[in-house]
Amino acid sequence: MPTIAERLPSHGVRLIRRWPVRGIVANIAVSLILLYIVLAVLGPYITPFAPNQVGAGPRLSPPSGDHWFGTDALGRDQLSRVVTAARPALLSAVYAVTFAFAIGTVIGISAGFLGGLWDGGLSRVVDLLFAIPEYLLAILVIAVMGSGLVNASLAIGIACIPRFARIARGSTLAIMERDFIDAARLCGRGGVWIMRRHILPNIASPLVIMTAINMSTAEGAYAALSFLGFGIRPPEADYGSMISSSQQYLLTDPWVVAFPSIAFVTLVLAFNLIGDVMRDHLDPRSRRGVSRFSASPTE
Amino acid sequence: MTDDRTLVTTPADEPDVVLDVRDAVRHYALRRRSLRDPRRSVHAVDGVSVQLRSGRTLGIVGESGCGKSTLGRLITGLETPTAGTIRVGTNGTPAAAAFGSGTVQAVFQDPASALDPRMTVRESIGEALGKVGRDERERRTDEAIAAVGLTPDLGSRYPHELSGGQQQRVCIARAIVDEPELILLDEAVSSLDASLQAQILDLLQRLQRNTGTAYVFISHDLRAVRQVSHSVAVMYLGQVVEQAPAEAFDRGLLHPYAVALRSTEPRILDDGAEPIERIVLRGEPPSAVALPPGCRFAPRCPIVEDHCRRIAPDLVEAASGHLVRCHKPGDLTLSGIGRAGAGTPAEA
Amino acid sequence: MLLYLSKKLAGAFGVLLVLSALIFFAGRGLVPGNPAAVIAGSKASPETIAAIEHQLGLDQPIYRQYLDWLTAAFRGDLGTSPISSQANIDVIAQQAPVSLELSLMGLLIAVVIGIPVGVIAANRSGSGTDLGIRVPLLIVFAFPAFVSGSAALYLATHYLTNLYSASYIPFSDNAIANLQTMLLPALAVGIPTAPLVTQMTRSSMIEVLSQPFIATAHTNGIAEWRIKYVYALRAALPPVLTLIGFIFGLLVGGLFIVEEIFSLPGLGRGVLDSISNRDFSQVTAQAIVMAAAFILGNLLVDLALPFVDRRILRK
Repeated sequence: MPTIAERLPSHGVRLIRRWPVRGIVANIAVSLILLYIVLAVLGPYITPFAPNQVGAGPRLSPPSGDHWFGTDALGRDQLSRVVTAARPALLSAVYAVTFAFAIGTVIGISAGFLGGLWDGGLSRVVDLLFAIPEYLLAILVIAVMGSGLVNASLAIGIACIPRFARIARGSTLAIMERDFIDAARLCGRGGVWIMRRHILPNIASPLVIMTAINMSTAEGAYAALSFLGFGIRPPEADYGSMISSSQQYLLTDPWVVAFPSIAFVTLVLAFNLIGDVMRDHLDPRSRRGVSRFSASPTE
Repeated sequence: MTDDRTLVTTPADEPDVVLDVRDAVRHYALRRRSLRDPRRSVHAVDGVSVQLRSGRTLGIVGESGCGKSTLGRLITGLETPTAGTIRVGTNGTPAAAAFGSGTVQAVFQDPASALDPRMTVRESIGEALGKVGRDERERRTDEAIAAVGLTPDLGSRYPHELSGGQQQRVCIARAIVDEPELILLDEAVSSLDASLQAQILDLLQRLQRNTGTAYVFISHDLRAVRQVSHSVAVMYLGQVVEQAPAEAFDRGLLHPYAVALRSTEPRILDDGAEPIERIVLRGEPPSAVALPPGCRFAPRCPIVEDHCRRIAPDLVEAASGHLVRCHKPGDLTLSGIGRAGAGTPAEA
Repeated sequence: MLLYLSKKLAGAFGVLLVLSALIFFAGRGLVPGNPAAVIAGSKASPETIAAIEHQLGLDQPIYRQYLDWLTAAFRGDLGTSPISSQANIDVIAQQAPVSLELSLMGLLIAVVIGIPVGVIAANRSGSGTDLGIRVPLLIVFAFPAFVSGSAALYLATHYLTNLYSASYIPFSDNAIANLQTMLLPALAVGIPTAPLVTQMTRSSMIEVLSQPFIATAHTNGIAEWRIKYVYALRAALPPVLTLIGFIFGLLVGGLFIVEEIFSLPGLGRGVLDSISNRDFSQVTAQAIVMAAAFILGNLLVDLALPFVDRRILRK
């Protein structure tokens, strides 16, 4: 049987043809994210100073020619730290969303496809996860597993599972109504084949959109957890922990908080914009009247 | 077409039976509103027995809700009967065991729904070919595409790039590619316009002549059923009320429901035929949940009598190969009530 | 209605029961190894540890511990912290009102800003006004509570020194002083949430405005403003109300952050403190109360829904 990757060429073309992110705002957002990706990859090679180098300059110095973003309380170069922090910021979102996507989609598709007791059981579990406030769930998971980039991302991922499971199940149920599922069964195709070859490709659009929306959620959640001290371990640079550790200097040296905040907010905003444009696409109710915003022609 | 029909009456070298349905029953349990409610169920198919031989077509006709589609799903094995047996293929495998083995294939009503929008024509057709090598798969797919009259270049297209008629041809190609013994055609031409219907019916008949596949042709459209079927079963509320050779439908129908159905069939006037009175049935069929005690058709029957409401009639053979479920078979004819002699079945 | 009510109540209770088990076991997972050994300290003798174990009931099998804890919880006893020796319920009684006030104020702010802005955006959908509303909202939405909260704290301590007071005073002691402390944190919780309300109001309104009954209302000569702001809004409310249930979850997230920034003695900060103290007993109690409040909030939304949308009862 061909793997998913073998199928990608034909399928990929179709995705791009229907690529819902168009328009000026969306293009800016995509460019911003690309910039962050470049920073995340090249970060350590292009920073003017080592991000964790204490005393790279005087302590708490304001922005200057040597230190464009100033220095923090330990005299570390803020520009270098802001650039370096792009990596954990993106990685956390990717880890969390990939995890939630993988588990949630498997749960949702199998629940929708198999129905019966399996569906009933899984739906209960998902409802249960949904009944815990997401942050409380994430914090409890971290409390048990310990903090750090991967654990915090997994905690966020677990909290995001219900969203993917619900949309995957709902979309699967809609696809199950179609005759081609019965036709495939008659052809002797088993459940795994049907789920992979028929259901997954047909529910890809809502899942892709859900992914975009959740990237921004996961991004914000990771920074919040990092702010609370559950993220990547110090002294590694991370937007949330940079903001929380410089908070006490907010009144006297506001730039220590300002630069990581701006860097982080820009990234979340870019994810939000893409998620918003895609959400409009998913939700036909709001498709009217967004043409100027997304400049996407109705299909 | 007419030469095909003559085959039916030839008793010599009868082809193999490829479908044998005996007393098939399918009930659906209804959800109870409270625990005190009685357990109730819908009798979608309630004791149907039919047989079909290789190379023949069995037409099943009836109003929506009469259970014809459920019967179709039972034959394909997509659903299992509550009671009774359904055997398919020359070796008489139970439908449930044959499910997915390639013995039975199906063409559904809406080709747009029956084709995966994310699969090319070739991928969809090839799906029916199970464990065959790549080369053979390609070759047989090509043959199937040619057999249904599509050009090879359509093979790499997606369903939305095809017309409705082309889509249905793809579905037929998928159904025939693995050479099944029996194909279920569930309202297979109903979604197409008249000229396309004729083309597809013609294609189906040609394929049958070449391959000898048996068809079960389900439709609410009696005319289409008569055109392709050797034998037709009329269903009402989950039961067969009349089963007859297709020729009998021109004049010799015995069950009042079948006569009424036939009388409403649109026809071209001025074809020299006897005038037909439209028999309009009053009311809706009774609910398949709360069935009347006597004949199921009694509440709507134009010639109903008292004992019809008390005693349910059995399906009896009125003439050779002609079965009917009625206390007064033949009392209602196409030319009106009571003009044929009571109780004398008109021979075709 | 009664059936609907009892169904929802039973469902919420069932969820809470299963959650209590999950949270209980998660709480036990908080302390690696033997909690009694941690409490007793590294120099304690095995006898001391065993004594503490027995005293805390830790020598019992875990399901037994859970059942004991659950029966006690039904009597309103959420255990006593072996670390601070305080009854957990007393600690929570101190913390919960702070968080409750903060979330209700935050919700109020989100709704008061979100719904009118959403209605205006929907009624001018596609226009410059719509765009002018949506883009800034998206930007606001990108500011998480910990950034906007820090900024608000900065502004308040710099420029609004009369308006803001940093030390928490209970509402019952001095309402005005209490509001002085709570207003800024509430804004920090509420404002980032408002765009969600706006978005849902807007899309729900747009759908309603396209329905035939609006056109009928027009032909019947009902005043334009009445159609837009009374008829359509009422029909558009159910999805917005459902969203509010979801927002409770976000508010809980906001609590952790905002209470930490503004040093408010609420439940969110309480949970974080308990975690850093490895106080499994207290964190279990606090988490259960938080989850229960969240479920209760959603239950209230479910119960309110039939009042804006009668069709729900028939389902």
